[in-house]
Amino acid sequence: MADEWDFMDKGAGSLEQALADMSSPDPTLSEWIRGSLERRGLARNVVIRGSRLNQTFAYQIIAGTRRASRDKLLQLAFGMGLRRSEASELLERGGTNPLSSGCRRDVVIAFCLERRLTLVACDDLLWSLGEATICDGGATRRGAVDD
Amino acid sequence: MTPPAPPGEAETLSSIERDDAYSVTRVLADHPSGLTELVMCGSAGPYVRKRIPLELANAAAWEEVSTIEEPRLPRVIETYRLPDAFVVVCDYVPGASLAEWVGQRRRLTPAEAVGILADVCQAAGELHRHGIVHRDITPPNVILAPDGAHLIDLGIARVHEDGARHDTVQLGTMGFSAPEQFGFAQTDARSDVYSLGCLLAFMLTGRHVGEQGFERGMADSAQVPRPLAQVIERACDLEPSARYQTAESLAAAAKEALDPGKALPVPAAQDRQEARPTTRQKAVAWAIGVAAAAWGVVFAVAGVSPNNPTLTASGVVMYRLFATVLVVAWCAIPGIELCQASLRRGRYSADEHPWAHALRRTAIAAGVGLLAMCVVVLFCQEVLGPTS
Repeated sequence: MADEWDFMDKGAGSLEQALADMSSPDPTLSEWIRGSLERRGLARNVVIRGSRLNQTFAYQIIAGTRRASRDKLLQLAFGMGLRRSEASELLERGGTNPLSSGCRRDVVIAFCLERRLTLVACDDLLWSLGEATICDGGATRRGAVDD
Repeated sequence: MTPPAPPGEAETLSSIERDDAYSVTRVLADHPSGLTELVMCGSAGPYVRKRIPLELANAAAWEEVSTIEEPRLPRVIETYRLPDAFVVVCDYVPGASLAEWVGQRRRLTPAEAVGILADVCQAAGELHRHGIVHRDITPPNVILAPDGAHLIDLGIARVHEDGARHDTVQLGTMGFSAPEQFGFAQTDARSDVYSLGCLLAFMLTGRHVGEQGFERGMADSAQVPRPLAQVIERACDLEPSARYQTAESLAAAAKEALDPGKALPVPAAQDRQEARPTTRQKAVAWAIGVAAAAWGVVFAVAGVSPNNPTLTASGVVMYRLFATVLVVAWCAIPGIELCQASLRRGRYSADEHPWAHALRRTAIAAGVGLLAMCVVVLFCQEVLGPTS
């Protein structure tokens, strides 16, 4: 990670020099997702089905014309079958916080991603542990009134 | 034209699946009007896949196009809707575009140009028979394949809607698009005829309309023989009803101009018969015009009695003067309009009857005249009026 900023430490005198030496611009979320799908040979409709997101919404996220909340991005991560580190990168590129090892909910989600469990299974686990689910607007067992 | 609705839930996934089945070989064009790619479907292809933003797409036109069996038009393989685009996949026609071909050769001989024009007219005519206007017949959209010219890129084609006041989406190419395409009236087959005329001119001179050297090229009879120049002039008339009314008649006229002996006979009269007024119409128009003018004069002269107590002598004179001028003008101008309308040769827009045009102007002139008359009468009575 430190290597990223070497060009600046190694005596870039002026701002113009620093801008000239910078690495190529980061891909947008949409570009990153599409690159990832291509590398892994995944079709969009398979990913969309697995993410259980609304199809139009999912299409728009992948196309880059809609922003998504953290939970929706997590759904997409499950649809794409990402591992924990890749899912964290997806969250960061989507403008939200990566998975945190200090957060109980995130740990459960990371566990499920690493074990390649489905989104439904993950939500079941979260529910049973009293954490907010990913789908269905983050309902929790403790918070549910009409249970 | 209403844009196609976004696909429903079930359709979205299957459309995405179909979309992903194509692999992109290269991007052919990327405009705001759509993204065009050369794609393969597995080992099948190559095809041209065009992604058109939903608000610009005309699903009805594309549905109609997919029923057309014309070798010089792109064969539609499939269409599907995505949440943000209407996608059309059609055959790829290999070959140089007319723009490239003329660019290389500088200009074409009349024989070559008319041959290509005939092919494009054949394609355009087939579109028009299905009620579709291409609206973008330009050199980059004509491909020269081994079997002749093909017309491609129907991205902005639209279905002609009777009664529509003007196109709801204005797109086109400067120098090839008919004036009505820029929003003043609805486009129809004759707008394509305009573009075809410009295409012929481009092939013969090697320049676009409005480009430097175009006028000089058109005037040079070695480049553009006089008979062909006349054909171009008529095809590119600003008034749609003055142009050739069909692509076929343009092609026939061009062939005739190239070689008077060999051309196919096409009845020229059918081009103009809607616009020629009958003798009866002319007679009625003259009668109205003359009667209106006469009535105006009589009214002005006889309408004011010198014994009118509310006006002084000079007031009477002023009144008569004003009244005469105004009423004669008020009646004579529309009368002259009607006479002119009846005599005008094919100078109407065909979607407006010549009488409607003249009567509308008459009504406006009459209204203005009446208003002015009232003002004058009031003025004379109030200001000049004081009486004995």
